[in-house]
Amino acid sequence: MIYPTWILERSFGGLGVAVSPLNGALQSRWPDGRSSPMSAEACQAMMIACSAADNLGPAHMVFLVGGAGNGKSKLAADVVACVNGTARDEPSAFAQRCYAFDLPNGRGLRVVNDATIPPADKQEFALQRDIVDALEAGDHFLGCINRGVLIGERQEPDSLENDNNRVASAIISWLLEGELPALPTGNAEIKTAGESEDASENYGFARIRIAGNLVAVVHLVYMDNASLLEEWPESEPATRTDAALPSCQPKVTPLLDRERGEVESAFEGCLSKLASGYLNDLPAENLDPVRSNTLSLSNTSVARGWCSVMRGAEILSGTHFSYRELWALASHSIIGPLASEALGELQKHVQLQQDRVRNGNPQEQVRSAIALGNLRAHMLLFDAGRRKQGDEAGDFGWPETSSDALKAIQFADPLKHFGPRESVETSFLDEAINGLKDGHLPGASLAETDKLVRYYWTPLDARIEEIVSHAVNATGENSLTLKDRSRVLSWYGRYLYRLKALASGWPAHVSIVSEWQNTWIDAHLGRRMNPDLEDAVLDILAPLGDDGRTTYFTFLQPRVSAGDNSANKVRIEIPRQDVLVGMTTSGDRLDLAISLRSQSGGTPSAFTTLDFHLLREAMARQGGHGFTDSLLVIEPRIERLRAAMVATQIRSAGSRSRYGFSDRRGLVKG
Amino acid sequence: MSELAWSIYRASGERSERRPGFAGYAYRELSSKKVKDFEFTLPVESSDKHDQLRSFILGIREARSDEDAKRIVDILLFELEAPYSNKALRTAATPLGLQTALLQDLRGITGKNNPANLALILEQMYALGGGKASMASQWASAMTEAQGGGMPGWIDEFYAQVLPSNLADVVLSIGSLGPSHRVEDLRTPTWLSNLEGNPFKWLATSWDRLCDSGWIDSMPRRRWTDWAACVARTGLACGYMFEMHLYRRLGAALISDEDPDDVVRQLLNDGKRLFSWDDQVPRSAADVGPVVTQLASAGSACMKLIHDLVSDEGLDFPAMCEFDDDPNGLVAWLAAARAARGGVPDLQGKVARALAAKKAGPANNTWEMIRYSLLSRASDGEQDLYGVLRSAGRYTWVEPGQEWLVTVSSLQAERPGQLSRLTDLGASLSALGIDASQRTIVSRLESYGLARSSHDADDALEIMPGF
Repeated sequence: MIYPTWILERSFGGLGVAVSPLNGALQSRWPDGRSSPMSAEACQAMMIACSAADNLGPAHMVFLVGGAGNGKSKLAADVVACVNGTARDEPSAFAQRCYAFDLPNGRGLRVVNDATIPPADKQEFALQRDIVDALEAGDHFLGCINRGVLIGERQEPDSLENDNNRVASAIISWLLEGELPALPTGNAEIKTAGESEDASENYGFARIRIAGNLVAVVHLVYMDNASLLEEWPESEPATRTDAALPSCQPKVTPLLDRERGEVESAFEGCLSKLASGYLNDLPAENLDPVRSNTLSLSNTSVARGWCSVMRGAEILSGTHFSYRELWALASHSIIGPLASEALGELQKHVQLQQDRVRNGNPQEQVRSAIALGNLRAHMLLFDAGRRKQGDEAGDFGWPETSSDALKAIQFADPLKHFGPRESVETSFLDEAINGLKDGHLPGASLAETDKLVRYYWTPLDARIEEIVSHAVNATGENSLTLKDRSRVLSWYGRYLYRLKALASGWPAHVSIVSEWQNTWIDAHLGRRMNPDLEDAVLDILAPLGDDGRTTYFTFLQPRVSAGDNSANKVRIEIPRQDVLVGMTTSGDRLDLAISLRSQSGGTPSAFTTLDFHLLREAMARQGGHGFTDSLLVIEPRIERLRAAMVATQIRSAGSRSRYGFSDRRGLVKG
Repeated sequence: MSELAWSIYRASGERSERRPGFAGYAYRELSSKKVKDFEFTLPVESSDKHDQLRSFILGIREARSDEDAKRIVDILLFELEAPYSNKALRTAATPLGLQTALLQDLRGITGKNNPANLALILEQMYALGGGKASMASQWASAMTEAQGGGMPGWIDEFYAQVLPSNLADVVLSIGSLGPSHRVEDLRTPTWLSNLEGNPFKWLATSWDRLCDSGWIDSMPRRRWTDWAACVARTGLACGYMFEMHLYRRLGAALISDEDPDDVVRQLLNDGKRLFSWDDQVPRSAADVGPVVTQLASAGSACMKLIHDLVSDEGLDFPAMCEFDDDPNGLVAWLAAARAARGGVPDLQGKVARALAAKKAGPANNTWEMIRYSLLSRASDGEQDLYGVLRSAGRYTWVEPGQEWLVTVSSLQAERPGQLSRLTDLGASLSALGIDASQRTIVSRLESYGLARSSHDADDALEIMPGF
């Protein structure tokens, strides 16, 4: 038997991860994932426009904005494959910035495939020029753009002379900031239209008029605003391409909501299809961990749990997993972090362990069972490729692998913090594992009562459990030393904990993840923050002083702090009831906007992202017992927020502010 | 900043009468030995000044009793004092405003009769970087135009009154002349203004942004003052390093036959990585102490050598300033210098000796200046948040203080609240001669809460400004 190598194409550092518009036909073994909400719809509109019989309508511009690996180039390739255009330039072996095509109806189509590639003449505002060129020629335009490029291209429309340049720079600000700046009065006009103005964070639509004539329509899609690990509802079909498309909102379902088990997240089908595709290529062998992984993950419920754990990792680390990363994580869960020919080695390793499990002496059996167990998805995900602490004899020698995605997964290791109500789940499992010593089989019985575990459970897991149970209960000459015995038990504990967590979709700190999702939903709907949580956040930002009623901060010191009362300090009061905490979402990010009541309108005085650490600290205070190690992480940010609040208070409250003074003798009455 | 403020007054040409033997202004005396005739500007208890301040506090009703007013005055005066080192003899006040900047001068702080003209050095560097006006005028305008400016009005007034009455006319003249103050006759070579990314340009851009773009109103004044000091001291030290690097390499190039274009290109490139910064590298390997020593000693010696050659009338050796208008001036100078080298006896030996020079004389001052500006100054257990280098035992390594990175990365954005990119930060750091590992910067930015979700990976990582 041979592990097919195609699964490595999209592993970390694999070769098949980037697409160009000219290599349209993609690897057939890989299931196609859905495109980000609205992106396929916008590209569909583009295809319809490109295949129009005449060239009279407005030019269509589609901007796909997002990081690498979200499927922008794939969509561009799909559009190019479908519009029957003739390339204007000779094809090149290298990825190019821009591709231009002549369409059958006489119009042109320009595709900026990778705006990060500088143009041949290294011109500074290259994207702006690309847009202007398309506007001047009346060509359709499809741009795949990442935000970093936009920051570098930002210019004030006022500073530009030509109408098209102004429009282009307005589009660039729109892509970057989500709001269209007003153009100086003149011939050119660009206006958003449709519900996209406020309803959708993924999609925007605008019309460009020059001297009153409609010259182009713009569809803007943010590719990475929606998590692939949440539900992406189907959108309604578009009726016309030159108007705002009916938008569809991704739905967020908190991990601990009952419905979480019933909604399909966008990536789930990809994972289960990938697993079953690979499963079909593997011979039936019950003791093969790779096959067991595909068996488990091809089950939809298991794939759902896997997606929930990944979603947790996303939220805990404040990242966004693109298709590229999720494909890599999926293949990591099946076959580990392998890059190339090492598949053969893995094969040999597996065969050797299987052989020992079948024919070895009891000690060998248990060692090999552990080695095979370490190749199961729930162990691979969190352990494989990590820098080794001690040398585990008999373990497969994974190449050391590190990526932000893997770090995020390791951060979400359920062993760190287990289950929704930690103590309850932990003691239940601990008790079950203890039963091993009395000859019980905790995993097998869990698989009988818990259907999610049952979907995950394979004959290999059952065999491992039998061997472990046998080993810890053996007496006489075959028995393990006390030390080995406890080592085996502790390994099996980790094994079962992670198994249960992955099957149930519990990342570490699942309750905080779930609360974050709830808060995001509140923010998204424009609701106020849950008052308990708001109090807790305020408690971090503006802690009450010793008197328990007021908040004072130093401002003549290098750092703004509440400080102690026994030093020579002057402090300014920030009245707690004057601090307003607003929430906004931007894609999958949740920002807090802090303003003071004394401010007369205008922009909030400070922004910060509500991330895991801040939320965790706040939730700990909610329970009244405060302080987690997250405090260290958020301290520098909090200090800056306070400094910004102090500056606002000084600016806007003027002489109305109260001051407090203290010296070694204590507080002075101010 | 004190020196910048004083420089405006000095330029006005007015001189107030001073008693003979006057040695300078300082805020407070620390040693009991009276050496020279300093004037201390901290109002002592029961002096008229102190009484005046107390009545002010009572007048605005911040205190209800005389006793409280006295304590408040003491607290405010104490808070004004800048941190000082264990060895200091006199202290300075934090230059939070025009008046407080005048509470000391460089003579008073250093105790030297003729300290280096720091303001002029800064202005020269700022001019080299193509600054808009002058550093002093930009600072003075920021002070006078601030809208609230992170400083409560009554405290501003209070501190203004701390200034000794005999300096009132100084404040007046700075207030009126400050915004239009210019320093004339500074060199601005074209080849340097054309050069992307150099410490002078960084200094000028950062200073102009800090002073003109609303930053002063978006943070407490003390923080703004610290940022300003951070920009000045970083620009100063890195400017010196750049200059020393330039002289050292040009000195060496005098006796080689490598193509002048290549020499200059290479030396400018190397100027972007005088220091390397990677938190993962052990200290012994990251030691930059020898780099500073070598730059200071060989750089100063080469500079002296070149000056000597130029001023030797018999040699007809070209001066660099003759090429200031040439966009490719450095290359042209090198070519001209090489053409003239035939007449110099034992040039080979002279250059070799300069390159191997020991740290002495002016090199010591340069070395001191660079280290003093960049090294983290911890005092009283308080960390220096704005240092670039840290040292312990034998080693000195790059480990910027938290606020240093916040300052440098925030000032890439033109205004408060604007985002910038990791590429820009990389460019700023290399302008300062620091070659930083991306991994290190990203993890620092993340831990200070400045990096924003990194899905548009790599160089496009967005950096939030500090304010």
